[in-house]
Amino acid sequence: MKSLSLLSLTVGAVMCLTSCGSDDAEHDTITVSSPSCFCYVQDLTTGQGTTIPNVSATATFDRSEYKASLRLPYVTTAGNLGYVSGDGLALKIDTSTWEYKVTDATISSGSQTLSNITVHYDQPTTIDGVDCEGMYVSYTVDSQYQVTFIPYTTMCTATTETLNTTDQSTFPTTKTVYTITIEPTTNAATLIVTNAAFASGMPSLGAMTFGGLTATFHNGGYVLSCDELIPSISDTPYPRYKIEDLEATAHLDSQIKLTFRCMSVFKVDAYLTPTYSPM
Amino acid sequence: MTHIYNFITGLLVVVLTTLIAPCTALASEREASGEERDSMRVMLDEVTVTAIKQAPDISLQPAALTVVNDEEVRRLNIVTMKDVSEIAPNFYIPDYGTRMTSSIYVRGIGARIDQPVVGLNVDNVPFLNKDNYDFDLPDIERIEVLRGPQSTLYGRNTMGGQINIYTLSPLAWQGSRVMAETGSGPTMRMAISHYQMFNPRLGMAFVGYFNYCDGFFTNKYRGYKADGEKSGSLRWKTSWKPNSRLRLENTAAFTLSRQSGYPYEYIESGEINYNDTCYYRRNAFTDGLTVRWGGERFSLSSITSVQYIDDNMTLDQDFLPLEYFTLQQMRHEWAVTQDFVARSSNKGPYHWLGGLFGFYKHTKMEAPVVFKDHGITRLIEDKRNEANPDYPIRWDSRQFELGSDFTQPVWGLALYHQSDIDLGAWNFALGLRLDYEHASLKYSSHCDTGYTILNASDPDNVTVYRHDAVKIDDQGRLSKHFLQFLPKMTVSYRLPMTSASDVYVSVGKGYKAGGFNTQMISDVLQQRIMGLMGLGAAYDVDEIVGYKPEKSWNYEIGAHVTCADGRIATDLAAFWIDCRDQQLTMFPDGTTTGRITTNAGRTRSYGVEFQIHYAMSDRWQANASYGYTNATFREFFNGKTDYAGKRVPYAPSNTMFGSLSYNIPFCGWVERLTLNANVRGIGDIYWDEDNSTHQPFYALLGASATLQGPWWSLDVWGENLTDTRYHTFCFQSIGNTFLQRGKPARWGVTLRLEF
Repeated sequence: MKSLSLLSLTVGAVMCLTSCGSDDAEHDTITVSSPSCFCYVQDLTTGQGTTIPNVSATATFDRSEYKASLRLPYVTTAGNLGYVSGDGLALKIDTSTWEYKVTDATISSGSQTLSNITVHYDQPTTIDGVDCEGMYVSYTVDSQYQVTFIPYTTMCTATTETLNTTDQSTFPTTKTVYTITIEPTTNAATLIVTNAAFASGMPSLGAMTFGGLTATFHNGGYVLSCDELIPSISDTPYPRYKIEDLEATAHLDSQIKLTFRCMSVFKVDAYLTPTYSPM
Repeated sequence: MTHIYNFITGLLVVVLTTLIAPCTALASEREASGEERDSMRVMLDEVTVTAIKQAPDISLQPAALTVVNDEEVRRLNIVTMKDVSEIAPNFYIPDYGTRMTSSIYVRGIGARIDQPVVGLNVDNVPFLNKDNYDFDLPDIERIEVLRGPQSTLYGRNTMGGQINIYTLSPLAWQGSRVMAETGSGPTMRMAISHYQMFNPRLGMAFVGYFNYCDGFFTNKYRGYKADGEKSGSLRWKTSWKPNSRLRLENTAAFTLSRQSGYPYEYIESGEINYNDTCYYRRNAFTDGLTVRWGGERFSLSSITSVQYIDDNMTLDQDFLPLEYFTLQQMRHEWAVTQDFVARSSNKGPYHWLGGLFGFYKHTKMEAPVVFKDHGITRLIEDKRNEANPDYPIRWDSRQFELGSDFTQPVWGLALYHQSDIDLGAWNFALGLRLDYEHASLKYSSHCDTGYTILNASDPDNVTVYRHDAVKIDDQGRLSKHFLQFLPKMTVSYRLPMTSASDVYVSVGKGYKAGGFNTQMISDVLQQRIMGLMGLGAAYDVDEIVGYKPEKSWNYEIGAHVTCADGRIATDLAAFWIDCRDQQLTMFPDGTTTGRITTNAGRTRSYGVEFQIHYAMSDRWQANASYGYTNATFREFFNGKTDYAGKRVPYAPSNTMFGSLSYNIPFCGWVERLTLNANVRGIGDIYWDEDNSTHQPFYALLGASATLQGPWWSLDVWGENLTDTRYHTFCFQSIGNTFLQRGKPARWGVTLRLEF
């Protein structure tokens, strides 16, 4: 009797202890998806690249375990051939900005291996009244193809400095917002500049649309360029604000450098933060 | 040089009235009788139901106070609140615009739009809308001007002070009065009143009043006077004491005002010259019921009011002989107020007062702005085409309307208490008020017009590029609520003198309510239209139209000294005011057009005040007052310019008043002749935040000679006898500067009968 009682007590104690650490406890997780994107795939052997439309990535971040699960498309220059998932990836969290990062990770499914995976996720925010969130994704497929996710639309805050070449005065502003929209099937891009201010006292203008830009893609980003264009505001051309020598070099994991001349007088240099896309 | 001369002249008159005249009088005249001396100090007597929140001896209240009694009201021809301007030191109400304009500046604090800084009570009824502050009021018994925040007892919008006006009670005087006046302008006024006591406990008064003024300034374009007026009022006052403890008083008043507009002259031409119609019309009704029950140990009072305003302001908003734009503002507003006050009646050292106040105000307004040919060209087409000359626009029609309709319900509740204790000659008082207010705005903006975009890239072949319709139909609802805690502390010490005198220190918080400036909605709409054409960013309505409360802390030290057997009564005060979240007009960040009302400023105001009443005999009487205020911005950046250190505009640095009267007794049907000379001085007044333009100090001399019999009086008077030229207002509209001149020299004759 005494032994039975002692055994029962022991079993009961073990059950209590294990229940505290059981898998039934909830994990603090969030699941997010990439914004509307296409991807640029480059064959590392030949150097040839192509764009694959409408791809998506899904990530689940476990904030209590600092682990991530990813579901990424298995893409080659032939197209999107399915999805590969992986769990238990190391996750870094910046608790001041709540930016989530997975770097240098590898996931496999059978013969399909995705390596050098980099995923950055930024919490939703509002830019110029538009709700946005951001995710950067890049990885290598089977050590042969380099994949970079490129959002169809990117909204960027920026530091803009304008040099008036007439009197050499400069005008800085952080209020200008740049929205880049890319159509990969035609390699065409549009840049919309909101709250444009190239000089002190400049009349406040509506959103300026720079259309007809040419997009050239590379690993990690793209380049937009145009020798000369007439911007439009409210669908009306504004020849007075002619834009020349526009070039935007985008490294989507860091920044976009944009330069152009306006009215042949104002030389604009802007450093854009390419993190966000409209939700 | 002229303004220095005026200042010195005014100062000399003030000095004369206080020093030289009494010395002369004392040599030969008998002293003022006890009854006349007592009239110098205002005591609440049994028939005065009003003044429920005041101390029994208001002359010893720990606050800066100016009292204008009925004799002075008649001597100085006071019929409106504006007539009290400058009589109370540091108290200025500029006379410009129409009856809708009641901008009051007290100790450097003031407001041109929306919420006032000074409250107005007439027979204890609080007037909620400052656009209804300016009306003629015959048979005024007494006017009290309390300066410094009165928010603890009187609540919202008394940050600068409180004006209490009491009209004659039928239980205090019975009979009939007739007043007929004519004067230059020409002007004409008539008042008929009858005060009937039906029995010792019930009296009624019926007062009718009419005013006509042809105006003093002519609109050159239209060929008639720009400041003409016809107005009138009817008042029915009932005072009833059913028993020894209960008193009721009800005052119902209807006022009507028709004014021909705004005498604003263009600074470049010096002319009043605008082509579109301007006028202001107002019908207003108020009814206030005061019920007071007086027990052995405490009294209970209830003050209920209903207020209605129906007005129409129509403006040629550019004030030029050009077809720019016009504004119309048509309003219907109802309001009810209820104040319950309990107060201790015991004679012991501890006294208390507590109350519960509530109000509801409902305003419906239509405010269309009509853009006309010149305005469309200069303000829309030219601005747009300058930005894009290759694709210019041409508006569909040469006139279109921006319509705006508003509904604004506002309500509030407040709980307040004040305790004071006498410890020998000391009195310590602490007041607290918790004030909650909820303001809503439902707006509807609409516009239906359009424009054509031309392709002028080839000037020899201009073609139509596109036509754009401008159809706006926006609705929205905004709301705000405010909770304020308003304390006030005072310490006073009764001086060891035979006549009542004291010194005091007070610290109190003032509060001006937040809300919505509906005048800015048209700016939002204009900006929307410009945005549709590619110019300007859209405004956020709440950010542009809404504003938070303005708050201040007032620190004051003062004294009330009565001496020479009550013949001399002086009041002195020094103050410091720290005002935060000041409601200002400024430019939004990053834009160069448009303006918003926001809380952007902090001001500091300090100064001194002095007033003296001197009755040395039954013949000589003198009054004088002087106020100095130094009010500057400590913080004010309007999005383009930093105005820190600049003087607050529209608030005068100096106010001055002096009045000297001499009575000559006669026999027979002429009892006496009273001669009076008075002077009002004001200035400097800066017209803008930049302090680039200002009105120098000026003084206005007045005089009167009154023959008085047993039941009649004939008064010959003059105002601004030196025909001093001065300006009372300056503003900018579409980049042009306009001024309003002060009234020129005027004279008149007033006949009064009492029987």
